[in-house]
Amino acid sequence: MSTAAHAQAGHPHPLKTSLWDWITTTDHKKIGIMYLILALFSFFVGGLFALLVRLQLWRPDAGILSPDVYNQMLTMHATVMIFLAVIPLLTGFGNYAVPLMLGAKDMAFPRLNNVAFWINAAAAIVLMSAFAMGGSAAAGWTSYPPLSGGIFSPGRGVDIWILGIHLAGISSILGGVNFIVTIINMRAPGMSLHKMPLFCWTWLVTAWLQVIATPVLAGVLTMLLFDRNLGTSFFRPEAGGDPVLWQHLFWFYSHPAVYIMILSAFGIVSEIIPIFSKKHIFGYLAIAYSSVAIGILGFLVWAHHMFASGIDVRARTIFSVLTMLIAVPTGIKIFSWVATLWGGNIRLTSAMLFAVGFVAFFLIGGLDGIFLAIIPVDIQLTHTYWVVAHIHYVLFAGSIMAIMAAAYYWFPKMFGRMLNETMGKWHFWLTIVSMNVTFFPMHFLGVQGMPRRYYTYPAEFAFWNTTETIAAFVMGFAQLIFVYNVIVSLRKGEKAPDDPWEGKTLEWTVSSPPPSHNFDTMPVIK
Amino acid sequence: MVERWQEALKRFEGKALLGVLAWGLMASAAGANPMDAAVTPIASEVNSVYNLILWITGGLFVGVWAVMGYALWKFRYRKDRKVNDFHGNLTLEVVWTVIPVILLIIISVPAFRVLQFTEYAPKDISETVEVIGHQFFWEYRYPDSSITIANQPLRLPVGQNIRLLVTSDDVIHNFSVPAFGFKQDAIPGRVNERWVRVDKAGTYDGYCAALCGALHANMLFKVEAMEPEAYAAWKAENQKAAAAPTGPVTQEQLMAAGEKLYASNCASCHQVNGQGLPGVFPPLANSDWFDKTDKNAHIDVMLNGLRGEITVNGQKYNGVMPGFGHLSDLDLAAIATYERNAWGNNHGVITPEEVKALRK
Repeated sequence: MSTAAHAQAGHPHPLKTSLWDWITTTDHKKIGIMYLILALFSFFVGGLFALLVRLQLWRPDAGILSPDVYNQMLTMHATVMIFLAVIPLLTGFGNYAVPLMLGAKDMAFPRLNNVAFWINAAAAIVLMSAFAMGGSAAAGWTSYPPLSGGIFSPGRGVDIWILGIHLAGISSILGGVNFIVTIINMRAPGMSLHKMPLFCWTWLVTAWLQVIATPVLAGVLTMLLFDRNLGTSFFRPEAGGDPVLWQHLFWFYSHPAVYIMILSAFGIVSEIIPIFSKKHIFGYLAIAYSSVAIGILGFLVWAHHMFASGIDVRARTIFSVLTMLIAVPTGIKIFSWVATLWGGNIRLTSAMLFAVGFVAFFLIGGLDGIFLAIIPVDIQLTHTYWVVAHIHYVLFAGSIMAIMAAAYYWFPKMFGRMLNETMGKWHFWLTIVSMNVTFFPMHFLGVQGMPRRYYTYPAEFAFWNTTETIAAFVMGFAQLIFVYNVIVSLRKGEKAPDDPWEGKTLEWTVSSPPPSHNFDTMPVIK
Repeated sequence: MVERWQEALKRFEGKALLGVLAWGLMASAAGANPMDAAVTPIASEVNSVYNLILWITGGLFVGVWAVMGYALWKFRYRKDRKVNDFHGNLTLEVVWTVIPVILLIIISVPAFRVLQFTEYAPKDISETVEVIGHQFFWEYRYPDSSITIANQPLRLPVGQNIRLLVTSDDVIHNFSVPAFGFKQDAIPGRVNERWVRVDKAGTYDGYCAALCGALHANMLFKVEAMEPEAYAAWKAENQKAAAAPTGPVTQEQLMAAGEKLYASNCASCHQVNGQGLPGVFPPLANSDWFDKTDKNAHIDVMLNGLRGEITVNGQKYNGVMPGFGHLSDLDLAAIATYERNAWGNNHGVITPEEVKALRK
């Protein structure tokens, strides 16, 4: 039947509608998909910047990028990956799945949802526009003044960066409000908080982090904008300001931000591992409440990013103790996921491979973080490649692998087609190998003392740098397998049943893809 | 076609994981740790905490992988498998909450003791040295001896407790000597204090470890730890040099000295060939700046630096040049004369007296 005839029959095809419908939609499923498409594109843009960085580092004095352009690339790699890729990818899956998992027909504020997405798209445009306006910010995504101030970053790059991040932040706050209200108010009858899926638990905590922390980022960004353009002196030491104040306020947001990027990844893995082990999740309440604990503790540890800044040793001690504490709820989760596997009947589909891979390799990021919680050891390792190793293990081996698991898990539900499992497995194995060869040696470089953000380096660091560059390119190309899989499967993939995985949450009780109103009758949870 | 990829996958999968593990193990054996040489007591103490954490986290890693690997193999999919759906066990959960806390305490006790050791300087400090970061070089001052040096190795005496006062003149830098077991942010408007005792004479690598601008990777430095007699001799020599009056010098002498001084002080930005970096560091070779300004402007820039937008050879520059007033009148005159007459330039001589006259 043609699209028009279908529509006339009162059953519009869930996916085949007009472009204008997609632009103005208030349907959380379509908004979720739009977040995913924009964020996937951004992931490749951020990845391109990373490959340019690695290309410059393939040997000492490679001369491929000038030092200033190199600094722009490292700044925008991180900025794009954090604000335009990881956070929106998780938001996309959250938007798609949370209302379905709650038995709701949409988010609490569907129109706000649409607005938040388009503000995110505007953020992407603003951030990338800097390249056409004389160059992007080049002071790192952490943008420490005075380097990011008016004297040492003249030009528009940092100002444009500030405006772009402001927009991303607004989107995040609006989205956070939507998730909180939806999760608290729109659960199906009988779904107490203790019967709610763990993905929704982690989104509840994440949404609170977004709402509470992001305004502080907005404040500190505005302070820098004013210092740069209106002659204020928040951070300018020559006028009585304090560069360290930036660090406190920036990290007050940016530490919770890393939990924003990992908590719903924990949620994804907590959904997938039980299904493909044919078991209930081990320690449901422990995983739920340890997520809350991580969320709260996450607000109390920001200065562990500042152990070398010279702030009082007594203050640093408190931050160190609180940082070490976070290992406990995180460990509880890791042990619970392993215990979930135990005694199960494990099917290693692509989704499950990525979920198990998450547990196996996020673990490395968690463990190397312990070194950074201990002040004297952190002082030796901070500002070096050890930190680059840590962040990429938690964000790539962690967040991104969970996001890939979610993609393989929910793709059939979203598009009514199965992804090709052989391609999925190739994607997984190539990623695992190349990712470890790219990031593990960074621990060695860090111990040897190679600082971060170096566009060239002495010869003694060359062997691992060359190795990492080669592996990074393999890693980049491995992700194209996934894109190819998506394109091919959308057209010719095996048709997906309502419940291809024998799932236990409500989204698997409706068709693939679901009708636009999600549920014909409101589900009741016993 | 698909079957060929599936076959290849089966051969690749198991090998891939084993390969990664084996490679990781071998690679971990490689890699030098500069703290192993125990050049300072701080390095040796920090290293012992580092190694303790390494053993504990290594053990945790092996433990989790062993259990997980076993579970993935033992409970792999079988059509007829009966699942044991246990999803809670109080004992297990208490144990795996308490054990990490115990491990953290085991790490914390030596860690906080070492923190005290590294943060609180011993009472018997023999000398204070000031470390000042600039874009893109390091300056060191020895206030007790009225010595100021820059763009050369930091000299320290072996076996004595030295207080380092670290700050910056412009943006945040970081003074990092991995062999010493610490690094310290150099923040403008703030003085950060560290203490160090170098127990082994030698030359140690130093890095700027905080992104400070385009040439962040070019602020490498060395620390030379010298036996006390050699250190005293170096100091005496440097004090004499500072005090020596400058007699009349010829243009040839200024050019010869200036070429060397230019190479070590100026070339990192303005380049050995005087071409600068377009849009970032202005050229000096065939530069119209010398036509537009007079000698005093040149001396002023060398003494006090320059910031704000300028146009050179039609290109705009809006950077920050630091001042080099820590160099002697003779050295500045040599550099300025070299810049005015190298690369086909012909803009006359600047004398040490002319430099001295403009110092405030």
